[in-house]
Amino acid sequence: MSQTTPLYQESSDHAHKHHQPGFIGRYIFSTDHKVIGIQYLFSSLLFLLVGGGLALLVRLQVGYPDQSIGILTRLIPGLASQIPSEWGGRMSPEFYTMLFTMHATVMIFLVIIPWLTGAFGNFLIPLMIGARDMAFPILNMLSYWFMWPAFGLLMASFFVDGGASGVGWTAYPTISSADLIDGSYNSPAARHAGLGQTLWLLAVFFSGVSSMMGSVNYITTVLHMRAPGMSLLRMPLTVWSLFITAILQAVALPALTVAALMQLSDKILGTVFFLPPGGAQFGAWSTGAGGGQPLLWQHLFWFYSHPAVYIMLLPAMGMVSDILAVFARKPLFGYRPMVYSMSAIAGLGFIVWGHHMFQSGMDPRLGAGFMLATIFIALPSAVKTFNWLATLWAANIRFTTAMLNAMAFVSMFVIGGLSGIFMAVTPVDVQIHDTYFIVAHIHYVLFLSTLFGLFAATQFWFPKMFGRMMSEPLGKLHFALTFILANCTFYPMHILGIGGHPRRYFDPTLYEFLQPFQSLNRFMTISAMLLGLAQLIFLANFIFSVFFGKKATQNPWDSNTLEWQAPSPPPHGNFESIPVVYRGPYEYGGDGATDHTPQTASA
Amino acid sequence: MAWLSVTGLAVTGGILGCGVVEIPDGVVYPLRSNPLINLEKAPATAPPAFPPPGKPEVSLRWLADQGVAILNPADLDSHEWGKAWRDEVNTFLIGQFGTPAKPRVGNEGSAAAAIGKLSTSLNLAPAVLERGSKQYRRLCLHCHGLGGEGAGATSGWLNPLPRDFRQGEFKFISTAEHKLETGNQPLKARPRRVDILRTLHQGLDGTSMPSFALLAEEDIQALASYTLHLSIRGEVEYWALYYALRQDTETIKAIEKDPKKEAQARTARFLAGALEWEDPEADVEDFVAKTKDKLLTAGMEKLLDRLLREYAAADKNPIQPMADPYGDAPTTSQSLANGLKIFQVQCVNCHAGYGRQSALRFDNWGGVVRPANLTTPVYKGGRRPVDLYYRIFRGIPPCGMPKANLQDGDPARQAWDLVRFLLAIPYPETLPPEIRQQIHGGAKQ
Amino acid sequence: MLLDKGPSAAVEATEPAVLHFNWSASEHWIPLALTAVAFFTWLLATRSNKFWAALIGLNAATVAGYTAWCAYNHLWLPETANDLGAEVDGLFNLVLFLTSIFYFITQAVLIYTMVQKPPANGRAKPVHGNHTLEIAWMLVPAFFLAVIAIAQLPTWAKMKGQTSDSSIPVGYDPTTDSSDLLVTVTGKQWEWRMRYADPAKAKPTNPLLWASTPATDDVHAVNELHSWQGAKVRLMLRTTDVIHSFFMPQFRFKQDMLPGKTIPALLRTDKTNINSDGTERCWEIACAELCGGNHYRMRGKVVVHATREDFMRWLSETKTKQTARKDSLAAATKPSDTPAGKE
Repeated sequence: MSQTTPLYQESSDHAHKHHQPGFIGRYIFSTDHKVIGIQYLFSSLLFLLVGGGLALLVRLQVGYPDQSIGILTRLIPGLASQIPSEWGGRMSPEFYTMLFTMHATVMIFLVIIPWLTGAFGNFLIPLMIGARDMAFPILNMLSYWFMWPAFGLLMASFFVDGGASGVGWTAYPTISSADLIDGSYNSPAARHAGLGQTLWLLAVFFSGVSSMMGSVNYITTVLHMRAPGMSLLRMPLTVWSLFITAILQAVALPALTVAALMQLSDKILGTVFFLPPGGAQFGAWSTGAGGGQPLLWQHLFWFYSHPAVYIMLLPAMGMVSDILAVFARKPLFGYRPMVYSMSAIAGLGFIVWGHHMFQSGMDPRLGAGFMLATIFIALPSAVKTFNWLATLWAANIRFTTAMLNAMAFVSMFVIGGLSGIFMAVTPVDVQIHDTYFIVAHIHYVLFLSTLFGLFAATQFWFPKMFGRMMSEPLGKLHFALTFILANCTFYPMHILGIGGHPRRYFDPTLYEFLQPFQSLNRFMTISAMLLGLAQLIFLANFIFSVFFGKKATQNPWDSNTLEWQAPSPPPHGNFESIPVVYRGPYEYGGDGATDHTPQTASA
Repeated sequence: MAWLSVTGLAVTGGILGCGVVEIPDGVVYPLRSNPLINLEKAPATAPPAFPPPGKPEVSLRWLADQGVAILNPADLDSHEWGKAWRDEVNTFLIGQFGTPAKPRVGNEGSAAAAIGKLSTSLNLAPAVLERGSKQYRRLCLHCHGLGGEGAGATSGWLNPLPRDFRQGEFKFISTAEHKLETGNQPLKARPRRVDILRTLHQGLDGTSMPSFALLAEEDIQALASYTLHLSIRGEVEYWALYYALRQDTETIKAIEKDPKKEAQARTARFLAGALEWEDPEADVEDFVAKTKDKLLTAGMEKLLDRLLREYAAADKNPIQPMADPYGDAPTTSQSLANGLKIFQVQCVNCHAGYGRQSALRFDNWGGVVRPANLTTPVYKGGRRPVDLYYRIFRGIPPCGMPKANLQDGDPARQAWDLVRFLLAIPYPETLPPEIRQQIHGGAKQ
Repeated sequence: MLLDKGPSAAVEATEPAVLHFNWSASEHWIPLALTAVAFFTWLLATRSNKFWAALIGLNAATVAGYTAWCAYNHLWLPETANDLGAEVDGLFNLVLFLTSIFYFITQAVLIYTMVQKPPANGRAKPVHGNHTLEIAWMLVPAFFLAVIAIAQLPTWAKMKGQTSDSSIPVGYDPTTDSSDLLVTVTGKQWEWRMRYADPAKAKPTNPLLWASTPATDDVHAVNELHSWQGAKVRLMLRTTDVIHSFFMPQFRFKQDMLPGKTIPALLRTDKTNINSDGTERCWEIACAELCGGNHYRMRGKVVVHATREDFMRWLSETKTKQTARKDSLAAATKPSDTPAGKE
């Protein structure tokens, strides 16, 4: 390719003129993977606020179940009808079920998965493998825009009759699917299982289709569009993790999509996939005879949702691996074991879904089988942890914000992973299932691990995305506060769970055995409020830096991988000429002229 | 910014104990804003279905379609005197019944000192009510609503609906029919205190009303007192607003004479009712002359006095079940056959198909109910033989279940035949073959 | 009966009181103090990066110390009500022990890497991996995981023996049920309805069928599970509306109730919660599967009587109350029949 040719993708067989796309084509309905990635990033940050706000309301209720929180209605006008002064400024128990349901739904489907796979997957994969764009740019654009119906449906669901879904993000039948087939969307089983639940199912459907489109794109791109010399085993772990994640999505999502359609059908069309033969009775209302099985939903749902948790973890692991190597100025320890571990996690991840169902009434022998696979899925994660620690051993550490967040990932992932072992021991799981121990585990792996990984990745690749640097001092302040306050907010949940404190409880003080734990609930609520405040620092840093951050050089972190060979930010088409790769991504340290050797450096 | 305010503004020095319920002082019982209904005669047409979840108001629409008067308190705004009427009612209610934080029945300084004495004897002292109010807020509010209107956040999605206390009637009562000291009938079929306690204790099987037996005894007593408090307050409010809104012939005639004196005419009607309850021979004009102003308040006072007397009288008039002539002996086939015969005469019209094909009907709150399916052993009011006895001998007045008519022969034997029969219906294996065939059609249930 | 639209215009509700905080309570000032610690770490870290290591170290130490403090102060597993519960706790402690070891090792190594002296001339040795290490740190955890996996199997078998009602023959066989007490527990929105088969009478020949078809001799109760010390209780768990989960923390017992299924779960009540002075330790039942707005209110209680005679006495008292043909002070529900209570 000539140095002077325009930087738009041209087919090799025939040249054809491109019209320069207008503003809409470049920034709204763009097919450029970088723009799409940044679009995902912006939506994710927006919904992070929504999901976080819902969580704070949850914490406020659990921490102070009998207090009036009417003051909030002055500050958040939409709440006035849900926390009326006639009720003494309290929310209703149904409203509370909606809060935790939508918190989980928004965080999982609208924040973590789009941020990890949508934002970083899109932005990084072509750049890191030396391609000009994804294999299917238009499909890529569609995958982002298919998220917007999901956004719209979920946000609209707050305002419909009965309110947004309140049956848990797990949406177990029959509470979620029971319907009187009387022409109305309302459900006899629960207030928040009516139209809100129907919209929830549609939103999950759209979000699933979006992810499936993306995953097909990523798999094809990684397999077919790597630059010359970029063998699979020379790809950075970020790309490996996103690639494996894409396979997880492609194989697991159809189960969820189908399940969502089946539940939708039960609710709207009167089918009985999940309604037992005797039907269900809700006082004087009766659904009529069924013929299905509620347990079926659990199998289908968890068949996706267990791989989903690895979808929400693996890319963070991959990015953290890369970031650790860059700032340790030392190669990643055990590249191949790391690749095999991620593959093992993904593979085993498909045969452990039943560990969410040990109490469900499924055959206990099946439970034993799932237990074995679950115990052993801890092994590859342990191997990865040791490899990270070995990477840091005798390293020359640069303490940047991204590095701090990445190291915190390693520290906190140990806690999150080890707490999982308790749950893998089935008799112990009987005690801690559906208690706060599970909530603790979830948040240690999703907030204190994945989110730290995302903070690291955002700080690290921000220069490449926007051509500016995020503020290091603000980033470090955000890190310090988040690290301490997140531990304050989520660690005591382990103690609550050990004590038997169930999840999703509007008012735990009704129980004598829970009375001693209420001070922990208050402690965690205050910590959560402060934690929420601290995130504003990150957002302020982000927004300010987009416009006023220090201008970034091409390779501010002295990193080896291919994206740093493109300008900051890269133009459409990414590279002036497709790079040729001569070595792996982790050639750091050593006695040479510099302490790093980019992948494109020939011998 | 929002978060800052939440944490920042919260610097007040209150003590936060474990499980202490604080009711904000600023909360008041809202004056009734949803429609009033008075089913003086049963509606002509049965409801077509249960109202769908989340839309309980649909049943009121069905009633309105049949011409039943549905009175809307908001209509008071369209009259000049309406706001004044409403304010006077509200002032009286706040003065006599307090706020959720400080509930009471009757003011200490009330002119009718008798009210104070009566309310104490009914266990409605302020300390008890305060305790009850706190537990109510924690346990009952979201179904039964702040004023006992049965329209909390949860209620629309329940069937049967939570009880609206404000009409002063309850379904599962053990009060014998009686007259008051004045010789009048009670306005409504009142519950005895122990009926409310029983409901709190047992819950209502087949509904969403749970059992509160695990609460401390004092809390159960306090909740019962608080329920009565809400009920009495609600009923005073009900009647006061009812007379402001109802379109009966007498009131209309009085108003036609002088529309400008509409408020006066309606007050007169209200007073006539209130006084008539006390003393049928009383002269309204005489009373008006003596009382001069605040007639509405005076009338409400009379009404409050009357209600307290009615509840006190109800407690003193329990149904005394007739002795069971069979004693502890097991049920005989003859007894069951007798019971079946009585059932087919007295009960089968409403409990069609032994309750399997009962038709829907309206209840006094404008909701939709169905006579119980007696083939399942689910008895809302309790499963003890004496509970069934109460149902039979009192009926369920607000739902139109009449009491059984067992005049001929040996009433005690008939009564217990019927009870034993009812208790045996759900268990085909305990029925003699012919009866089993008749009820369960040969096939096991 | 309609949803009230709100207070009448004539009376304005004044502003409800704000949240009350007791600032001197430790749960309130500790987060603020720790926020300050984080803030000062950030300030000090500009001088030396070792403060970051200190922050991670402080966290690791606090996590461990706090856990130990909670365990010591009984903010921990509830007392066990049966021997199986003690076995479960043993497994818990085994896992805690093993995971703690790995926790301390990994945190210590991480902190060490943050404070270690940078390599000479600022260049790390470019080590890409070590085969032996990889094998070692794969086999050692694998060994411990295998230990954990095998250690739990007997307990699981004991817990779930004879509970499956699937058609596979090695499940629950209703004709050979050898339990001492049969109780059907129906979870419904939002309470637990218990039905006891009178142990003095003949046992139902098919407990599964009995679970869905009440019998006249059954004794009914709400939210109360009674048993006696040493009894083996067969709980037939069912529901007619949505999924609930019957959770008794002291028994380490939790089993979902599925609409359309009757699940025969075995519960061993080896210990009594009646103290020698007659007082009762509170053992509770909680719902552990979201079942609607009032999921949090399905509170029940468990009473394990000291002897079978005590249980039978309770049962017959309950039955007598259930078959009352008139109300009296004794036979009625606890509240007395007289209108005015004491206050």
